[in-house]
Amino acid sequence: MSFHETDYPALLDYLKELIAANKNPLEFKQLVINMLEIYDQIPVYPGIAAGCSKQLEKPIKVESLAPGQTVFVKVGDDEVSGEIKSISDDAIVLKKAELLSVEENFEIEKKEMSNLRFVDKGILKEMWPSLVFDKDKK
Amino acid sequence: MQITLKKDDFYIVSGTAEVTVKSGSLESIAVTKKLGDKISIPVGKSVPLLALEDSSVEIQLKNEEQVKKLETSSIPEEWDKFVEKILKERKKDSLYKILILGEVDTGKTFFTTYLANRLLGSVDRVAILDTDTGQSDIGCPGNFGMLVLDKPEIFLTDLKPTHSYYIGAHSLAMHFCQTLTGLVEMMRYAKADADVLITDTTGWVQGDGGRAIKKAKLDILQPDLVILMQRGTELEHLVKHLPANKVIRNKVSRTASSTSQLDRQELRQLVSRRYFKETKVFEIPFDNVYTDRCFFKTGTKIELENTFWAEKLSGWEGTLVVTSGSLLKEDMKNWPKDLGRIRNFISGDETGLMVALLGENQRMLAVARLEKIDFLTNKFRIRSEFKGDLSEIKGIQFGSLKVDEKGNEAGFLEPGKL
Repeated sequence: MSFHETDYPALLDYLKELIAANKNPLEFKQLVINMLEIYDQIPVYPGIAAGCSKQLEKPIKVESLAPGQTVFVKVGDDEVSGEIKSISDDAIVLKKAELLSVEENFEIEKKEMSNLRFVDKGILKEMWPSLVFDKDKK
Repeated sequence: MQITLKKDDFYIVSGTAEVTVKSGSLESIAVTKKLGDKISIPVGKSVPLLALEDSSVEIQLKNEEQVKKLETSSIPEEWDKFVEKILKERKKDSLYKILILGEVDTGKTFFTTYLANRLLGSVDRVAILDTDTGQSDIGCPGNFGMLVLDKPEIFLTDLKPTHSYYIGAHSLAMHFCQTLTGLVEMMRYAKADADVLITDTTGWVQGDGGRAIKKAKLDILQPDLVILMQRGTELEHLVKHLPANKVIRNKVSRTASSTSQLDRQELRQLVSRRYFKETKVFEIPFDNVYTDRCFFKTGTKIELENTFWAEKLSGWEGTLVVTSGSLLKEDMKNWPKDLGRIRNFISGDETGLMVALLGENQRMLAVARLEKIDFLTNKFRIRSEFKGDLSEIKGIQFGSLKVDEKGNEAGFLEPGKL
């Protein structure tokens, strides 16, 4: 097989683009949720779902905001995401707001830790060793 | 409006419109129309009118811009030379196969119809295979349709297909297997029923999928002649492997019009609605039919609490469970641990799914709408124009398209969900 027979890789390409664009986790999560919502509507057209997803995020002026919109905004050094609940002259209120603050170093006491997990980067080799190839091997 | 035409005058009329010949005679797509004959032109379609003698026509339309007079015929003279080449090359007792390739809006269907009509003067049995499931002219959208013509026709959509094959989608992407199997199946019919087969194709000719599917079609069909409907050189990558005498390059007519997405949808629905016009609803017990292109009813039925239906599928495929809503951990607490991957289907999501009713040897009998899978009575509730005896229905073939009761498009079901 020399050609992709479906447009599914376009969805993966979109995820790669989000990572390459260094989207913060809040944006990343919202964009992926919305990508999946589009895909669920048109599951036989993954290429169209990917194409539309690339247009999901658009800049907007404060004056154009409206209740119900999901927005991302930078406040000081923090990133905030949420759905607009109400708008007044001076402020907007977000519901289900999520805040991402970035710390240079963050100390955690071991006794405070629970539900600890890590990313197992060797998982492919564990599950499918026959599919792991030495890239330097000629 | 009334138009008086002098011999050789040439007009293009765009739909929606109805043309009535009031005097003289005209030719449209190699079909002669005489006094009293009518041509009904649907939305998104255009037809040429060439006066064979001094004539007059009455045209019912919305605005006069739908009628355009051209200085000369938009049908190139070389088209008739193609006909001569085909007649010269054709061998008796063997099927002569022609493949038409072109991007969208390059006039493939128009050319196909013209070619078929012209060939009918010299060939007894001309078949047209329409593989453009998104813009079907023969058969219901989502299907391959083959028409064996016995006389020249202007609009193929008006005719009932001689053979149909269910693809289950408007786009061939994600339905490659069905597409290629359908091509093989239709070739079998054509070998029995026709002397010349003209295969009209989708405009998907570029990118990974376009290249893959078109090359596969070329390899399966092994055409005697490939006709490229191209504006420049956009199709050349598809025919690099073919000898020069098997390829004809047909410069696209400037009058080949572009059709908007919404017009395309309306054209599809116009055709689809015809297949759901005189439907009735009937029930088929699960035990009376097999299912095809789905997981449902292909495994071993098991009893699981909080489900409408559960069946163990083959090997690592896991278990299909049908429930009234999304599955919760609570629902599964008493289930055995060896069910493998749980494939959860929500009852009711199947409503509106377009399916094919299959007879003996998987031959397609009719398209249908799945109204409901009734897990209480273990019956399929089906809406279809099928008029035969229900015992003729041996199988139900699943697809990805949903339609409403009238045949209008109503969304999709993800392949592999059920």
